[in-house]
Amino acid sequence: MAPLAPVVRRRETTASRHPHWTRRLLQRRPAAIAALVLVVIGAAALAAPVISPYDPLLMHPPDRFSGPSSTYWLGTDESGRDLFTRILYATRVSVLVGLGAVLMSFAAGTPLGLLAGYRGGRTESLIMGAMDVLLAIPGLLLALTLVATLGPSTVNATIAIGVMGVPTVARLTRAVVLVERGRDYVMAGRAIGATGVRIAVLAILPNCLPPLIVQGSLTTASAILIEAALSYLGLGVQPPWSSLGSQLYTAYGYIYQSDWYVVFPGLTIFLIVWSLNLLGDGLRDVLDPRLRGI
Amino acid sequence: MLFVVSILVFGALHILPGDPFLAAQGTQISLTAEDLAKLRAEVGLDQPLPIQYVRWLTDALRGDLGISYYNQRQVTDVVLLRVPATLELTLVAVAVALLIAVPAGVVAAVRRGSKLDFLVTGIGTIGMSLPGFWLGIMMILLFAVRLAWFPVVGYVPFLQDPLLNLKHLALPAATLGFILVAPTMRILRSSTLDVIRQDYVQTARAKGLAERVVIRRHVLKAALVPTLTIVGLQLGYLLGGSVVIEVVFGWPGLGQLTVESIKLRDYSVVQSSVMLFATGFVLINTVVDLLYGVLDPRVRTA
Repeated sequence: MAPLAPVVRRRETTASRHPHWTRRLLQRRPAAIAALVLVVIGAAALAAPVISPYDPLLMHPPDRFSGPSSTYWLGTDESGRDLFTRILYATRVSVLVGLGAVLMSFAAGTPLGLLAGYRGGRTESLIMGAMDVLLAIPGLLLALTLVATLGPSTVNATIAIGVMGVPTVARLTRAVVLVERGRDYVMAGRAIGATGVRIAVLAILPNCLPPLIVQGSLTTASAILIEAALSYLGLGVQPPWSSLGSQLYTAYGYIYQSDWYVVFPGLTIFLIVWSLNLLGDGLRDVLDPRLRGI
Repeated sequence: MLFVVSILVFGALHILPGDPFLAAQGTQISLTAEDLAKLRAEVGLDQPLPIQYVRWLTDALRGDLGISYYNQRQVTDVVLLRVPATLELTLVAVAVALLIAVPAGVVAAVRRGSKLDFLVTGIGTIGMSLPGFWLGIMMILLFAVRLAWFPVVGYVPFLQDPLLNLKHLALPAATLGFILVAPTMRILRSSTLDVIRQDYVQTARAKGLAERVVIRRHVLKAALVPTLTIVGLQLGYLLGGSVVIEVVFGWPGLGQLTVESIKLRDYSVVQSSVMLFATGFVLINTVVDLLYGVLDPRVRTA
């Protein structure tokens, strides 16, 4: 037993000098607060039926357009429905569409970038050329075109936002792969006879993860923003579902009746996106110091 | 590049089911099956896709974008009518953004770590997280509904009444400008930080130049190059963002037209306006590439 003790102690000291990245992340105040805000909003949205005594669809016309009060925390909408409850349910939809879209962007973008970066040559020019075409249609317009093609629906909006994110993810992955490809461990892998796929997926990909995690948080932020814009235009989430964006569209029509109605859904979007951006900045500082300040 | 984009946009809009005339029908008198077939033949919708595409492209290159499926007007006229409003809004927004972002970004970098820097970086992150259309709605709520300083929505051509035009322009331009301020400021700050550590900046200081001159002549000039690239790319987002802002403020530009046409399934207008946006975007980035040479003599030989 005796010889083991020092080994264990040494591990403890390394752990305190180089704490796990999650702990280093939480030591940064903006990132920690952002993470907390996200957890609270996420939990509240998930537990919406438990937290709120109201049915999101239950109308209460006498109380329409009331301001925040102890009965209605954030006031009510044009039919006297509780705004707090409606925002919680809408947050579920917005976040779900955002996360779904980001998953799609990464599911398609990462393999494409990996393939382009590792194979090089004609494969690379073909893939990156296709990505450049997608990037040439500016921002939201690409999503608009896709929604126009597929027809406005919640699923199609998710697909459109997902496609929009693919080029960014593919370009980033390729850029990191290009650096990693020249490292010694890739050479070593080849020397022991590993196949290209094995090296790419098992050796290179894990080393590309830090920038991809950072990008994931930032991409989610912009996906939620785009979803809000699409739904605001009436081309995203469709009734009977409502997202924060489509709520804002309805609320805008009653801007003379109620101030709070247009304030709170937008404020919720802003809080979520701001937290994701701050978290992304924190993650970058911790995981990928090379990119700091960019 | 634009050629490939045109195939993509054209293909995407034509490949899927959904008859534009059926959508148009809802608003007009109901049509019989024969009438429908005749209408489709009239605009060439009964031809195979590649033929439709080649026809559209050759016509488009001659400046004829076809006719609107919705109200049978010339698309070229419909689209061009909307261009001035979008141009005015975008240009003023970019000017506003640069006026704020350039000094703010440089000062933040020069006084790195100061309260001012903290403020600029903070506002930058906030600006990137605000939904543009919500910011617009908040502007309307405060300045148009509550304070009634500006009209809520609408547009008056500049030539008709310059003052009223500017009054209508103020809120949308401020909103769009603020959205662009955040990314520009961030990039300018970080590229200024890179430049400020260079040896030649030390040299400029050593030969006794005033700090102000060093910053303006030597630092800012070099820092503007990467900033310009990002601003060029960001303009894409700005163009996208202008779509929503135009809708919020009832600004009769290309963006509003695009959204209206998507809802009406008026493909000929949608594809033309999206192509116009993409062309503008590619043009801007080409101009940015050319500007490199003007700003940075080191690029000229390359």
